[in-house]
Amino acid sequence: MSFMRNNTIKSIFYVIATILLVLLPFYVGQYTVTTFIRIIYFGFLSLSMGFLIGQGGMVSLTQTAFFGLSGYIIGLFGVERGLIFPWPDLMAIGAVLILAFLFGIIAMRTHKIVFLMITLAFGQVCWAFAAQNTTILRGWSGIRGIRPFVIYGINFNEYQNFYWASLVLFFLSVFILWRITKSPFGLALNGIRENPKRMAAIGYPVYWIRVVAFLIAAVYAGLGGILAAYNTGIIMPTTIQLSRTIWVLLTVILGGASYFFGPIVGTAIAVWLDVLISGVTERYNLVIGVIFLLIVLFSPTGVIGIFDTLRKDKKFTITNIFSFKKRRYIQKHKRRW
Amino acid sequence: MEKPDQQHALTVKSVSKNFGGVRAMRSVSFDVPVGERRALIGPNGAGKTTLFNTIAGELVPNEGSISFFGIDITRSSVQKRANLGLGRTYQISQLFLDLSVEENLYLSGSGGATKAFKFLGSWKKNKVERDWAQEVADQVGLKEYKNSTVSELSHGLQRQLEVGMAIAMRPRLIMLDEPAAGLSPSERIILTDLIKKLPRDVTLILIEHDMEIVLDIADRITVMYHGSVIAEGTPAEIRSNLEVQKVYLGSSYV
Repeated sequence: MSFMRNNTIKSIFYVIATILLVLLPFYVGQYTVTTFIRIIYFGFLSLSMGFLIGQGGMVSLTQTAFFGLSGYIIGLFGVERGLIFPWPDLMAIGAVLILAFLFGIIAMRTHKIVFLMITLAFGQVCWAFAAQNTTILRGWSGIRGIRPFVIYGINFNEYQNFYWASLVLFFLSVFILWRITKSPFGLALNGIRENPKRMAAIGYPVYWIRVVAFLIAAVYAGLGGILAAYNTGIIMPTTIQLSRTIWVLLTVILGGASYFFGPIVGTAIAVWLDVLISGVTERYNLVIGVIFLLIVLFSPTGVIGIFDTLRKDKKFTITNIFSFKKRRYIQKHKRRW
Repeated sequence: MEKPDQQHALTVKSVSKNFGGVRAMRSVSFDVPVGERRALIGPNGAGKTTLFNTIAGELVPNEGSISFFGIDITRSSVQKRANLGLGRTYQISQLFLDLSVEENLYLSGSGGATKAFKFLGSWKKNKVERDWAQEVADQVGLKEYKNSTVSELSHGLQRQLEVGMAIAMRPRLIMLDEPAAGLSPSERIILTDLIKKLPRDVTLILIEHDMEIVLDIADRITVMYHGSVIAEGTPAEIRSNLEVQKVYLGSSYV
């Protein structure tokens, strides 16, 4: 069966990729590993936004605020109050859930462009609050000195250990989110993306499904925020400013918003482009902008969209070049991935 | 107080709806007994779709009340009415275009408030719901299109799916808003057969301009004109009603 053979090749690819990622600290230096940690925590944030866009059709510009909120909680309770792991982290997720619920019950009354504007407003309110509150959140200078913890004799201040911890958390979280997209809840969310009016007419609680999806996405942004705070050691208003939100939105589109793994691929590419091009020229934002423009012009479904098109195109396929059945299968059942 | 009315699937009592200064419905009243097949006819702009949207809950009436199997639903949400067993189709198909036929029917068949909040396990493992989606797909003639994306289906097949979406809900009352809109003569036959094959205990309300379909399906006909009900009766009575002939039917049906 050609279809099975293709699946085998796919799984071998994933296994090799996983092994390479796990063994990463053994064959590259600290800088590269730290870059991968950045990909992981921005990947969480991007996944959070991408899940809402791709699965639920909701473009939310509040996600960065949740990313920052969990960082601030870690800063406030971990550094300033000196609470030990896991309390600041659990409090961070709790705070994110509470804030997301409050925002969600308001924002989910709206759709499309109004939703975009209201989430933009929420994000900006959080940013302005963080910037102007000097008594607790320390205003523009932010909270410094956030350090990872030592637990069971494992010191997560060492970048290798922190990388492995982040990687395990990331794999687990991605797997759970992937399962959610395949569950009845995920399908209902897809239905809301396609046609909320019909979803109500066939008896779904559209509003609450959207609120729950918003909570799930917020938790992912929060997890990213925790890792980011530990890794950079600092949390300040610039972490949650609008340009960061837009950058995350770009990574989602770059990778392919309609694909589950699009945001992760987009983040990996964008972070590496930042690293590579900023080493060559100071005007790296210009170069990145042009690359982004080209990709979006030629493939509106992002980088994964390019590969997906190639996969479906008889001429370019590798795994099914000899298989007539597979080709017919793809033509008949056009799937997203 | 009246006792809950179990004889009538739907009771609409002097319902009015205004859009600004436009009076789309003026004190519309009618009852549909359980199991009846009722057609709603009238020229464009008569208020038929407004009435449908009011019954389905997408519009709230300015005056009057609506009860469904004896339960007052005048101010209930769309979702609540659907869960009570009110299924509808739309004049313009409202399908999940990027999903497959099976996914569409699955969603429609498991629309209860509790069934959506299941996060673990693939929906594909829910055998009962999938079998039901398959059964409906067979029923509406979409057997071989089960895995096709809806946006790739022809208009005729999409209209069949539109009816299937309402059937999959297992409704007690099914409301079809111009199911045959834009269909070719041969597609109309398929669709009419499909509607006629619905179980007799399901109450049906149908808006349709094609009089052949109406006369073929309906037990009774309600005629609307300028937001009011002007006549109600069996097909024979409606044909011989002079006022109806004047506003709507034209000479060929006299």
